[in-house]
Amino acid sequence: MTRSLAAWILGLDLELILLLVYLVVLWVGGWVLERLARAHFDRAARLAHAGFAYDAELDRYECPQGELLTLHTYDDRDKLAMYQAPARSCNECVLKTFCTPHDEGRRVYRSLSEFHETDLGGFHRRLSLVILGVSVVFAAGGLAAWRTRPGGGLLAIATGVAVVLFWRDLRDAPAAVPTGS
Amino acid sequence: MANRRPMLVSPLWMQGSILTFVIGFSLLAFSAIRMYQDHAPVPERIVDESGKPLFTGAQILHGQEQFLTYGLMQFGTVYGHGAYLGPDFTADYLHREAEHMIKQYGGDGKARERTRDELRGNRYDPATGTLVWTAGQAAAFEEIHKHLQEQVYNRESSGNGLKPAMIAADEDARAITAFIAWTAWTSAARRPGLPYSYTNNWPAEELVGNSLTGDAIMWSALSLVALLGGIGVVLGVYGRHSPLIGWHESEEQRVRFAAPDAVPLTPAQRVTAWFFLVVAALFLLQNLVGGATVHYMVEAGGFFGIDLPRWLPYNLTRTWHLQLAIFFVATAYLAAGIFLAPLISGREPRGQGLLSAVLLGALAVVVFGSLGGEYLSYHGLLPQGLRSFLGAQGWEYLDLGRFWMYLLIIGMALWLVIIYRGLAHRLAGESRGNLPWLFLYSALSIPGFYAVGLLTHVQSTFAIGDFWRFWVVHLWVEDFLELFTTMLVALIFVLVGVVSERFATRLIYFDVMLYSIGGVVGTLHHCYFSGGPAVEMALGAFFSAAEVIPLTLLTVEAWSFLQLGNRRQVGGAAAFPHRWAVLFLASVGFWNFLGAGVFGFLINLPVVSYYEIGTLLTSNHGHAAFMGVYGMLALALLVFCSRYLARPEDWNEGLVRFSFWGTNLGLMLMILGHLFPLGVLQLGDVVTNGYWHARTEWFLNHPWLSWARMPGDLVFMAGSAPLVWMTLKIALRTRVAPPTVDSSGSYVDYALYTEVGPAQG
Repeated sequence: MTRSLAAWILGLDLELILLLVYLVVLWVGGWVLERLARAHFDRAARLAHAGFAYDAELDRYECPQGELLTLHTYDDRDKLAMYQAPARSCNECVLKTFCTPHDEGRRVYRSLSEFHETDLGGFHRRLSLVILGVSVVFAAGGLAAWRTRPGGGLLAIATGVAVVLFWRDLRDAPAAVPTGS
Repeated sequence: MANRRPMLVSPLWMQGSILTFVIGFSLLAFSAIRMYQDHAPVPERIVDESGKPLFTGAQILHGQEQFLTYGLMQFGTVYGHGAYLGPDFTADYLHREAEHMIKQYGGDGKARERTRDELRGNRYDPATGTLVWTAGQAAAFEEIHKHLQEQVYNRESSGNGLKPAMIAADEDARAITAFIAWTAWTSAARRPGLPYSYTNNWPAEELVGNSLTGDAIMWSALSLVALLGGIGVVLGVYGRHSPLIGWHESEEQRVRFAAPDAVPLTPAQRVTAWFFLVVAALFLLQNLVGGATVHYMVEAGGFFGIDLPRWLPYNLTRTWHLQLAIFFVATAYLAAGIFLAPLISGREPRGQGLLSAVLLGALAVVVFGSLGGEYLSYHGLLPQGLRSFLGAQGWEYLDLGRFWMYLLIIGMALWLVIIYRGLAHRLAGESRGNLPWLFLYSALSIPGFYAVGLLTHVQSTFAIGDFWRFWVVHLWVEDFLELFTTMLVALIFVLVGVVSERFATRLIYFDVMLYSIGGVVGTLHHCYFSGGPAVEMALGAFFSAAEVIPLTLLTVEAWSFLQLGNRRQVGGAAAFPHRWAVLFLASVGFWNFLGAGVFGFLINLPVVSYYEIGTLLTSNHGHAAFMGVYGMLALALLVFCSRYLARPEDWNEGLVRFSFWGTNLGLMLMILGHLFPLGVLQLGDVVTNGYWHARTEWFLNHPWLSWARMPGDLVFMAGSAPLVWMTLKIALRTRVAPPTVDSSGSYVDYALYTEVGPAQG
């Protein structure tokens, strides 16, 4: 069974095998692109308040020196919550020069936007849509060329997978695509 | 000095940058010396076994000049360098020569062995300067010359993207064949005392026993070790110290952006509106000739039935495509420098507007003069002595005639004067290690390193000419423009309040150190197979793999810097006027990762480059990296500056949005739908059938995949067109801005943003 499967695979056109590999590269590429972008979005958000621990239950931050930053303002339009430490405490702190350039107390901004709501989320989503769209065209083109030859079935499956992946990305796209000013 | 603002960062940053810079260039200087000492020799004369002269060294160099100035490097390649429609002349000649000799010697196993031995044998005597060719080699020369006459030099009708009767003078044609034959000789003849050829056994050719050298494999393996180790070390250091050197702040500031129509404009800034119109127009023209260029891949004889090669042959459209790419990007950088200088300095000296206008005029003369010169040169309409001076030098990327090159360097020097005058007031009060000075230093490198290209002559020995050419193609484009890119991005972010000056300064020093370690010596990865000594390959391989380290890090940082403007953008363009400029910068980060990082590394190692050089994978890297990084940055600069130059009623957010998506998605379609898959298939053909094959008949096997380029091209072109309309309107109706000097003659103090403190919810 294994031997006959191997013989069947070895009997396939090299170009067909390359095409299938390329389709997998495109699917993985589209997925990795969005995952990486999202991971860096989260990382950038973390770096924005590195060293400050957020307590979700009490909705406040604690600075490395143990001072608490409580919710100061909430900007609904920009989806930003701003937390601030007491000015006097910061101005007396030994780490002030490394922490904040002004005397009003250290602030931390927390973005409440989801990744897909941002322009960057939309940018990466559209790129991944193009990647998956290319995979649909290549899979369908390959299917047309190999439909009566060995391996045509594999391309039929690949076309189905490509269409499903593209459709899933497209379905989520409207919320992600920036609408301009 | 006492009045200068002290350095914002530790002097160690500057000292470290200078040290790594010196180390990098010392290694490159060493490689230059070795290149001069050990390049493939040009014999004084080539004779047959009876001593009868066949041709001379002077004819070879004359042939190289004709090859270049008739644009044949923009049709096919030698040593894998050049354009991709025609054959690789080196590999093609070598294969035809071997086949001819085997046939002449009887066609059996012994004939194959004799051919192999004769071609690998090195009968060059350095003492007399004489190279002896066997009867087989001499006869093959005549046959291949006849073939080249019919197919390339003197076609009866248009075809292969070339015009008919291109090179009428038989003397010139024969000299070109002599040059090509010499390159083929260097690729097969073994270096004295060594088991490999002058080209490190490139190209792969079974008939002469050319295969990968042990050096290529060893240095590829070592460079991978260097890469992995280097990434580990740099990311480790970065992970520990990233708060110090990243695109982020200790504390984000909440800022209010000045309304673009309230920002004063200086006379020089107003002139940049015309610069940006030129940028947009050149960009569109570059796309259109690019479309014609790639069309020749599916219809080599014309353009949808029109005999286009008669007027605009492939080599000319490709030359223009590359030259316009450099011109539109360079023009955008020059304009951005002029625009940003008063924002940094806070004032503008008298006469800057006039100087900027003069620069614009000079640029127009260089651009259109050089494009016209290339047309005249390739069509043979200039006298021999003037062709490389006023017409075309023909080295890929350094195609423009020498006269135009001098003018361009003078123009860039004038730009430097404009920048210096613009910054002088601020420079006087700044430590020489602070951001304004760094901006000046990086500006200085632009004309400085382009001028190195003057060391390349049309009659330079190929390996040496190519070595200096890559100082421009690699060092200038990939390193110093990259550094200038980081500089401009950092400055813009400082000016709009996204990062502090201190953080931007650290990042730039860090960039300098990273590029000096990998990028500078990495220049040599272009010189693996063009006739230089093996040490070039060793250094090139080792350090070019290390080039990926800064790219990896910059990618990590790029993705982070993308987030910076993000928080400012939520809430729409009314709150943040540079939404689309930042998105173009975001795309710079993305393409830097994919085009320069992934696709660049893919083809860098000697074991890969040996098979890959001159295939569409190089073009794939070129498009994704050059357009993706420099092109998108040029558009980001255009959009950023135009936002201040446009009247509010002329600013069309929809057009910019259309351009952004059109160019980015179009480029992605070009890459994934055409260049990358076709490049991979071509690479497979090199490995299976040999390099000569993959550069000739192979295209004919993939007409449908070649047509797959069209959708991406059309989307991309559509994306570039609206910018012309928008910049034309802005140039004709530049915003009437508040004066930069008040009634008392004092400069108005203004900034692009103000910190506003806690937001009111």
